[in-house]
Amino acid sequence: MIDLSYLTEEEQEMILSVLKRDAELKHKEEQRVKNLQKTERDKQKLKYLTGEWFYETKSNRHRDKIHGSDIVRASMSRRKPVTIMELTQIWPRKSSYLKSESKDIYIPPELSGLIGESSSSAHDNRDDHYQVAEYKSSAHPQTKPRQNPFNSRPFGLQSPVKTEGHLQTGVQQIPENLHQVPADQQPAEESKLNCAPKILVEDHNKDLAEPRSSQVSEPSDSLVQQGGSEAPGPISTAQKQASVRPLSISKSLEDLATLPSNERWKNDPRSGIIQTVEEAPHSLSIAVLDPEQMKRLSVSVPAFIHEQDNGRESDCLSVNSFYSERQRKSSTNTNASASSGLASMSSVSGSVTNIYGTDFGNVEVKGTIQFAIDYVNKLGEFHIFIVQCRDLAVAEPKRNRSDPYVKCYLLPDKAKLGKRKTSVKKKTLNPTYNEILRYKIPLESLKVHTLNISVWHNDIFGRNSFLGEVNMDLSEWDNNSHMIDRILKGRTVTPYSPKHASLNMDMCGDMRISLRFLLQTSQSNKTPQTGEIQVWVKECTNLISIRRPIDPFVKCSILPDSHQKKRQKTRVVKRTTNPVFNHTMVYEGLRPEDLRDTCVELTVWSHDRLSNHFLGGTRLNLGTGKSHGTEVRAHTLRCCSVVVVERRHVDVFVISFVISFANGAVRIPFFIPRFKDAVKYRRGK
Amino acid sequence: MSEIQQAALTMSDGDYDYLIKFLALGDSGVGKTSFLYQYTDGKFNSKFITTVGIDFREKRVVYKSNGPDGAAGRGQRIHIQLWDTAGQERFRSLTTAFFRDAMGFLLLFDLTNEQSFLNVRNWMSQLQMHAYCENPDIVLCGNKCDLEDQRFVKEEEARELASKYGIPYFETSAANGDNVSQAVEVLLDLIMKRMERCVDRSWIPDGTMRSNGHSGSEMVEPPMQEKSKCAC
Repeated sequence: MIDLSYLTEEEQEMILSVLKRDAELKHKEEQRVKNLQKTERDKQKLKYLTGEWFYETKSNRHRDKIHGSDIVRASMSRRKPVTIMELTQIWPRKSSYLKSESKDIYIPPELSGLIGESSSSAHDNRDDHYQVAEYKSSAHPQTKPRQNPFNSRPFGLQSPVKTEGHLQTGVQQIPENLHQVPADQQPAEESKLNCAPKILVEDHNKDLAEPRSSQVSEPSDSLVQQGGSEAPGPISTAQKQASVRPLSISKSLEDLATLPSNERWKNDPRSGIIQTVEEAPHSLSIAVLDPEQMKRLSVSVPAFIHEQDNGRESDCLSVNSFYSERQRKSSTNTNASASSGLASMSSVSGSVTNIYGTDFGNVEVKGTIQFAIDYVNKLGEFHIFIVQCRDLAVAEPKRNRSDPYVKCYLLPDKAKLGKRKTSVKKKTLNPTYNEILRYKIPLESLKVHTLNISVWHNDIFGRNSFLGEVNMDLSEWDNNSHMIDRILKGRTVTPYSPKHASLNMDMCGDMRISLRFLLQTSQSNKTPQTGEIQVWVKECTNLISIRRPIDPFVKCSILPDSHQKKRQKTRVVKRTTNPVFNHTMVYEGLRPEDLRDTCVELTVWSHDRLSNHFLGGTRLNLGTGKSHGTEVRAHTLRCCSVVVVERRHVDVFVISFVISFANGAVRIPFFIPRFKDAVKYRRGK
Repeated sequence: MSEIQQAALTMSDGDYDYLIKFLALGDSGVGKTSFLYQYTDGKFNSKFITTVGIDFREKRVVYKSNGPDGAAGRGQRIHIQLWDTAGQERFRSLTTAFFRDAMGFLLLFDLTNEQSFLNVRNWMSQLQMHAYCENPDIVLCGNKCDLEDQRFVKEEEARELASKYGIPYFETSAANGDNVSQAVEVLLDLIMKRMERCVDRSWIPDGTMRSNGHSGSEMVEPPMQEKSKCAC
């Protein structure tokens, strides 16, 4: 059995048609041989007229009677039960380790049928007539143990071994209890990608030397650090193991939201630090940066557990080169918001250090990678054929070995779903993969991406080392599928390069909303006057989906109060990038003075039964950066522009926004490295 | 000396006496497909179309042998199945699976591409590993000999290598057909001889069959140990 998972469907078809012709020829040959056996009496002559001489010789060597074509056909047919189309539908959930290769594990029933067929059709004729008739008289040793490799070879022996190594990093354990599973154990390099905010937390703790409630509620860790606060002990042990996969992210978020978390966080200042353990080298490199600046970097949080700090962190304003570029893009909106002073205008910084961060693992980068890329129009799939790497660095000098695997992203999508990995090749500096990594993606959208191929050492103890990477701008790709040899490059820090900034921060959609605050007329003058915030979510437009189609909906909550009941969401509009919701959410019981400290958080998600995918989001407040006396990181996540259309009198704000949020493309909540970026934002004036 | 005639028969036409399976291998772009196309159809297409995994062509020839098998005089109708393989590395696992089914091999390299010549060694070891026996019949072909001005591999080098392996060497051109059919015919001859040897060995003493020899001026006499390795 051979691994033909690298063949595209078209190639398979072509090959199968060749095999079909071959089968026809074989059939003809069998007929001829049958006739010969009836007519030809001269056994010697028969032996070469029928080609038996050849099969005898062959059987001495290959103890099976199987034709290469049958092997190939069988190898292909075992793919059949799971077609590529089906696979791609599974992929979004199972991600990269559901490579077709791992399908070796099971044997489709068709295969056994085919095996039987192949041995009987191709050879039994000969054997029936010849082995009986000929072998008895001839001196040939009967090659009895003609083993059929299909039957004798343990299935999946090869690939499970391969995939195991792979799974070591990729395994997702489903937590039995979300609260008890302390941390989102991502494959180490994943968590490195996500490490920026963790580092920040650590940094805060160091710098300020006081317990903090810095809740790094990252999407990926959303289940995670909350649990961590409850049970800090297991964190470090469990951390190394595997990644936690929530059964339902929305559920878990709700659970989390109900956690009265502040106290717990204070009790366990380590909770943030623990997660940084693995990222030590990286964090060090970051820590070299200006601590003041670091402090200010606010952590962006798709999980949107309210993040409060003890008043030390100012939500920083950082106008960097990247930002100004964005401003140009949306200049009108920006100006409007700047003048309004009502809404906080913020921007995602170009801080993509966790994506384009420094090297992880301090392994030198060397060697080459050979690969080919192809777009299969028929399938709408982008294939990356990873051939081999040569002359990789030694990741573990003590044991003098590397266990390399190759990972792909279509940047800017760094989400877990966008990841594809090969198997891990053990103990080699010259791994040969011959594996195809596939993306289901329209050709047009493919062209806006940069293919990132990185090589990693798979460390069984969880800290994978970066061995090098190559980037390929697909907009410059000429659709040629020839072999590409590249020298592996180090991970250059390019977070602020305009190119990458734009790549990462392209708009991924607009949201039209309107906010207002209505004071309720109170019967009693003694009770404090309260009112309600009304959030009208009209529509979203131009949402971008990488894995089409998306089923968008909007979640809204009023921070800092992130109780579950305060979370409201719109209905799901199926299969559109321009959903119209016309949904109004009402939050009661707010005093006018609360408004200053209140933050409206709107997030757009793509509905999925198992886990909703994060599409983008924003936070809006009055720009004070304070909430109930404590500073809140009310940066507007990825929000890049806000237009205030209207402002009425003091009691009733009607604010209409067109919010364009930055493109990170489709992300799932628990692997959103970008959201853990240190996000600088600009406070509204 | 045997004589091989191209049969004027169509594929569907009648019966044949032997089905002989050949396989062409070598680096990508050396001209395997073109070689076979030239052999079977007498045509050449300079456009490079990479072979997807595997393909085959067929040709009917008449083989006349004056060997000891008693078939001398009467032409034997031979149906040749010529497997064409993708030279690309990525198809390697697929193509090698077909090595086991071929009775003879056309190992091609590109005279204008030194690397393809250097890789002959690898292909030989691949063959030794995957073919039906350890010393299958192989003909080495330095293809594209029409591109004399671009030649990178000297004829002597190639001959030396071929003689080291004890296999015949031809300088061929799929473009103009030079030596193409000769190479295939010599391979066919080798196969037919081997076939006779294999079949007859049970009653003919060792060593006598060799003298029957292989024909063709281009041929290098296979080393004698080949015989003993013949597995049948």
